[in-house]
Amino acid sequence: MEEAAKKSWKEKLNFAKARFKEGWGKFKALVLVQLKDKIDFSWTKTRKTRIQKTVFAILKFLVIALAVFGILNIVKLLFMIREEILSYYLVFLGIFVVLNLITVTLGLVKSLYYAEDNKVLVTYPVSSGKLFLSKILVYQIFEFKKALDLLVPVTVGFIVTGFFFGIVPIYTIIWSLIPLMLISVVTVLLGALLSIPGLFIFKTFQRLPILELILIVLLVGAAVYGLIYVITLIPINKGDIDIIRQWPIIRSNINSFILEFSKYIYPITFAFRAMVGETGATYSGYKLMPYTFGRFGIILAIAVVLLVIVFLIIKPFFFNMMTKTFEFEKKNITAEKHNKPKQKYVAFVGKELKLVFRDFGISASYLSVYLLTPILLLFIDRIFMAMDRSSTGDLIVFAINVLLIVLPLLASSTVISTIYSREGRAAYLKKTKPVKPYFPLISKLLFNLVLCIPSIIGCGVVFSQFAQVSTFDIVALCIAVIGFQYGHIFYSAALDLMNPQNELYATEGDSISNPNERKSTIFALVFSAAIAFISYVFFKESINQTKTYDIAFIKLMIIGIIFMVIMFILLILKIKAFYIDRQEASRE
Amino acid sequence: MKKSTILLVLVVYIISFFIVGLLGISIKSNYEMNYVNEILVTPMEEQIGLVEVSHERVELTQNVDEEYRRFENSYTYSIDYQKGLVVKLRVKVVPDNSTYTKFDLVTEPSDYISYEIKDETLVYITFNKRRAANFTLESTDGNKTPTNVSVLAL
Amino acid sequence: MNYVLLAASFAFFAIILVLARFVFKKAERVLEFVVAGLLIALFLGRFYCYLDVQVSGDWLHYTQLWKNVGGFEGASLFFGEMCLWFGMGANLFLLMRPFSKQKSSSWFVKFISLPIIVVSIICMNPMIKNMIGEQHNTFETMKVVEYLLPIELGGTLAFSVYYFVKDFKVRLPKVDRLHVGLFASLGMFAVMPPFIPAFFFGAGNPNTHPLDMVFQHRLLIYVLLIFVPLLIYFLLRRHSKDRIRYCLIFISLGVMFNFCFMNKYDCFLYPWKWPFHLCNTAVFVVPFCFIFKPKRLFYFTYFINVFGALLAMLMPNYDELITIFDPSVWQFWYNHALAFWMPLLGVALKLYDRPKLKQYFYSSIWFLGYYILVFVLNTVFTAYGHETDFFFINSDFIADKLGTFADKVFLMTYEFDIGKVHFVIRPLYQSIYFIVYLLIGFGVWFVYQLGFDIADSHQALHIKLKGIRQDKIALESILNGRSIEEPMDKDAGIKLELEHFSKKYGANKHYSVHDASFTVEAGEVFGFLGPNGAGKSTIIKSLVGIQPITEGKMRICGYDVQSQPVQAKSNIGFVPDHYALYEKLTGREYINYIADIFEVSKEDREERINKYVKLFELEASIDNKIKTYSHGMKQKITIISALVHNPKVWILDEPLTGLDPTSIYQVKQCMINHAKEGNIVFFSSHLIDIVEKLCDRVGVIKKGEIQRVDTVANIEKEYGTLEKYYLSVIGDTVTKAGE
Repeated sequence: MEEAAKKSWKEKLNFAKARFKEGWGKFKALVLVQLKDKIDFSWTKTRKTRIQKTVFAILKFLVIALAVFGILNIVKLLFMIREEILSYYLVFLGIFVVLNLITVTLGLVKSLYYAEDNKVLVTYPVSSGKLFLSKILVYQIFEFKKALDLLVPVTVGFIVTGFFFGIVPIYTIIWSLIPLMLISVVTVLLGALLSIPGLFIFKTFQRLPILELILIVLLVGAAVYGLIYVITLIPINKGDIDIIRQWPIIRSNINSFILEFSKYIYPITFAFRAMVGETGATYSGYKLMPYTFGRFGIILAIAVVLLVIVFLIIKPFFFNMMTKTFEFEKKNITAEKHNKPKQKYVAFVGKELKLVFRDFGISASYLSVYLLTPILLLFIDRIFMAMDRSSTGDLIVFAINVLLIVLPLLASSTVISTIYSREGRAAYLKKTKPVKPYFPLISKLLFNLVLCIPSIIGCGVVFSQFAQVSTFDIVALCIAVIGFQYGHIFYSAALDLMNPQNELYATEGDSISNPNERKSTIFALVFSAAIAFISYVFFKESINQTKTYDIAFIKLMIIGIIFMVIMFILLILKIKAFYIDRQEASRE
Repeated sequence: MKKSTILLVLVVYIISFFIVGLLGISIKSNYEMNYVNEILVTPMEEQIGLVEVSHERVELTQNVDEEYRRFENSYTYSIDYQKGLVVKLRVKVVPDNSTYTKFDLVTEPSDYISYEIKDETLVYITFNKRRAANFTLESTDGNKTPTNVSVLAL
Repeated sequence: MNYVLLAASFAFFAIILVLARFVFKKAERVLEFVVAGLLIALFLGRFYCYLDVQVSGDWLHYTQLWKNVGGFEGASLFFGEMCLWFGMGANLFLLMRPFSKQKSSSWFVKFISLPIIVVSIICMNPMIKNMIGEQHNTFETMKVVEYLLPIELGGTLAFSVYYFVKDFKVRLPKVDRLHVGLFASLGMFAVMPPFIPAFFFGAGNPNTHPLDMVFQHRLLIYVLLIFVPLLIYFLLRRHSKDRIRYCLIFISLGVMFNFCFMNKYDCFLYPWKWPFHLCNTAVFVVPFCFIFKPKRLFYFTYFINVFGALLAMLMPNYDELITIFDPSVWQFWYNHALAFWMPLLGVALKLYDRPKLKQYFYSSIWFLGYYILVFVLNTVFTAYGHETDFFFINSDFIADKLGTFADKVFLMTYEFDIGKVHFVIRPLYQSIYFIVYLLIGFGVWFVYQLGFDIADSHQALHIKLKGIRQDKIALESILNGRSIEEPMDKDAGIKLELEHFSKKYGANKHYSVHDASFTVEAGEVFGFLGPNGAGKSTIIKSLVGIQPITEGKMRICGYDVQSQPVQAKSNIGFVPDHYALYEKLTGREYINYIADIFEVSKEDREERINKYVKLFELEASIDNKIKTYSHGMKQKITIISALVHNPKVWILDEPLTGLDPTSIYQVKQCMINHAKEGNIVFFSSHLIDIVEKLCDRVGVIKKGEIQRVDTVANIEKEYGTLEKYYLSVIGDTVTKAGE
């Protein structure tokens, strides 16, 4: 009987092992299939690509870390800051983690409940609990990958700097990464927990889109109000702001701010201490003490508890919450609607406006940039005006104004490089319509082309408040900026036309990494910097030769107009030559 | 806009501030400057209970010319602590025609004492507990002519 | 005396050349080389006997010229000056002739060199006066110049006459003559001695006191440094590689002589004065590369010299106190313009291939070799008391520009003695210098790649637009004066025609559809059958204008799909295999949008929309957003939008996929009714039963080839059922009716 009991105990154990093995196998397969779908592993196939990818990744890591190291050393040289360096890292970590939590929450809402692959994954022979855990794990792996891109190299840069400044011992460089990874895990788990109310909010916005609009208006309104309030705080007299003379007070204020900030973000301060160690009365800097490892243990325990809570809370509802997003509420509309004919070209523009205004995400981001750019310019100009500038300083301020007008506008219009591809397969059908492609394609740009103008005029008005220049100069500046903005819009549109990504948007949605957007962003950044530099040279020459800035503004205007015309002509020519040709290979 | 692009734009704003602040400021020559010789502190008229314990005046520069002599002052005051105590002091820079009349207040941060400069001539010190407030007032003209103040609220 | 020397020299060289031509025919080329060699020696001898008047910028001579500028003497001195300039070019063309088999080299000698030499002979005395000047160093130098020039002119005259006679029958086409002539004008800028622009800007003119560059100076620099090289590119790009090489050798040799103008022969005695700066070496390396074609050395100039020249032009290191008239300023700009432009032109004009990354690595090895050389020379010469600073690694010229941090690194030295000589090196600074330059060179490779991408895209655009223009001309000739709004085939009526249509995707070699031809008449329901990947969708997508046509023709109602796309599409209604709708619009909004594009009147659209919405039972959903629709509903919206303008040709690509039985029935009825009204219904499907029942004619396609186009009745007569025929064509077995 004992033997029989033992046997059955052994059988049970073997059975449990087999079940665990099977379950683990399914879980692993689930995670791998999601990873393979989302990440491109083709670089692992050949030795050459493996080496290339690894070398580039290491180089990127080193460049960011060295850049941080370099900047901190310059800060130390200029501002004689040494021991406070790591407290600045705390501020960076605090802001980063808070912003990341918001992004992670939104990302998890999409990934857990709205991802297209849910429709397929839910049909697999796995429990919803395993499915849920696999999604969390995949998301966590992505977060680790993202952390390696920015957070980890910046952290290494700070810690290495701290070591060279004699604030932390060398082994902190290795140790700090472990709690950092744990912070990432806790962020993801918190995000998963917050995804429940997040989903509720999402669904509410879906049901009542007006709420989303109200929220966006409130957020933008709050940002504008906040900025204007801060602007009123800026002193108005020349010479009131002087970094060099006022450095001690600025430094003291920064330290006070950090002290307050560290109290408000106590959990992150706690985690920061787990990374770098404790300060003490008998030594300067930070040291890893037993209490530090205690902190780490607490964070680990929190992570485990969160995991359990998240699993227990979400798992029962996961299946329901996930599948509900596939369902749409039907509204029976009984009010009589009419079929109103419109002129062909008006129809194109009308359709585009409807599509833009029904996608709050994109239209809101445009409007926020167009609204905030002149206000931010006002903010920074008020600061500049409170500085007692030399004649060189005036030139620098002028050039920087040009940069700070052009850069945000151009950076915001990088999304134009995805404008045709976003239509997915609907873009192909445009070609079947009996109309030349120029107007339908350009009509997609009209929203941006028109809406940027008030923003540019606003920037011109702000600039005129502070610069002793004539109205003609302001008009010339506005025309120049319009030229740059339009030119960049046409350039970005041409990028999308020549390298369409319709199939990717049709299958994967908005989450893809679009090479055209990257190119457009780099162009925007480099172009803005170049224009700022050229403006400086023009302003300097103009003031030296004629004692006014008129010639400089005229030159900028001419460059802007020429740039816009060239880009427009190139766009039209590329439409003429390549529009029909492109996108053909992607469908067969 | 991508997150990274927004961050980059914000970084450009910050860098612009420093570029102008460090490279674009006019440097006044010595001939144009009237430096602050000393900073004087007196309690405000309606400050009841504030007692001046001591005042020292130390010469910082050995200079024949009366105009260019600099002095460091040290003031110590005491007052009985009560909840919500605010000590108000009036600050004056000498000479009156100094190029930069504003002053900085430099102190260690504290949880229980807060400082406020009003109208560029008044210093308000708010006590939340029985403490001694120690701070230095410095001129902002590059010479950093100091005045040390201690207010004991016990 | 001068003319006696000239005549004697002419006679001497003429005799050699006549003997070479008629007596020693086998040694003709050798004797040509000998004569060329002698003339080169004479030229070099005369060349380096210029007095300091031109080199040091003593403008007293020019003052004389300006004083007499209105008179005969002034004019003759002016012509003498021009002959000094153009004579350089003429000599270079002439002395390159024996080494080149290019027809254009003969043309240069006949029409450029010979006339200039003749004019130079006339202006010989003013030329001598311009070379010697009002003051001269030594009696001997003066005499050398006085004697060498007439001897040289006699020799070059004989040589150019020789080639004139020898190449008399050599002709160039008219277009080539124009290009070559323009090149000769531009090429003269390459051989322009530094004192020429100084002269033109009034050097020595007692009424001008130049202090700094003005707008005209800058314009000249822009023209010479930017415009001229670009013009040379556009002139030469369509010519043969040999001609391009010849022209680039001319330019690089001309600039090399210009560069050497500033140096005397005695500089060979002073190695620390040798031109070892990076861009100075380019002056010699570039012509060497074009003449002897060493690839790796060329790419060294391409990666390393180009960037160095750009940096130098941005940060010129000549003394700021000297004016733009100083010859050293012009020498500086010429040197660096050559180092910058010539390697770029070599690749742009395809004399050298576009470099791959490995060429960068090879050029890095050359750079390392150069760096070690200049490092050693700098250290040794400086130790011996000469201030040598090749490539600026021995001075703080660069460190000064980078700030105090760089200055601090520069000051970290390592000193040691060998014998009595004290050596100083800066290991950290010089190592960082090397590494940074190397890394920037790597960055330059990316910039080049960007440039190539831009160039390629513009080239592709240009070719495509040219093709479009040619198509337009062809269309106009076919229309023969008719408007483009009229169909090509006036009598076509409602018809769908394919004529030898073929389609290749991208750069694929094989055809997706090959030589497809058939016609569909009005009132027909035409079914298109074939397995997956057979080419059905390819034909349909080409018909509706989603893809271009590779070969052949497609016509809709007489309109050519390729050349009259707008007119052809106005007759088409298309239902794709995957619905592709704007999901944020409502169904009604979408249909109205399509109706607007097709300019459907209000009455017609009301009638049709109401009819089809009722037919497909979409009344409850038509005003909801499309994203809330099921698959079937979306398909129905697509069908309605394809019918709202009552198209003459209704094309459907697998329209019944995903529809419920009722909807399938409704769609079939639509198709039948639409055809009954005299229109064409053309659709592809996998469902043989439906095709069999619905269609008047069917087409079967397999692997891009049309197997058969026939009526269903005929096929069934042969094979019994359409299915059997289809399987026999697509599968391996053949079963006819009765077997």
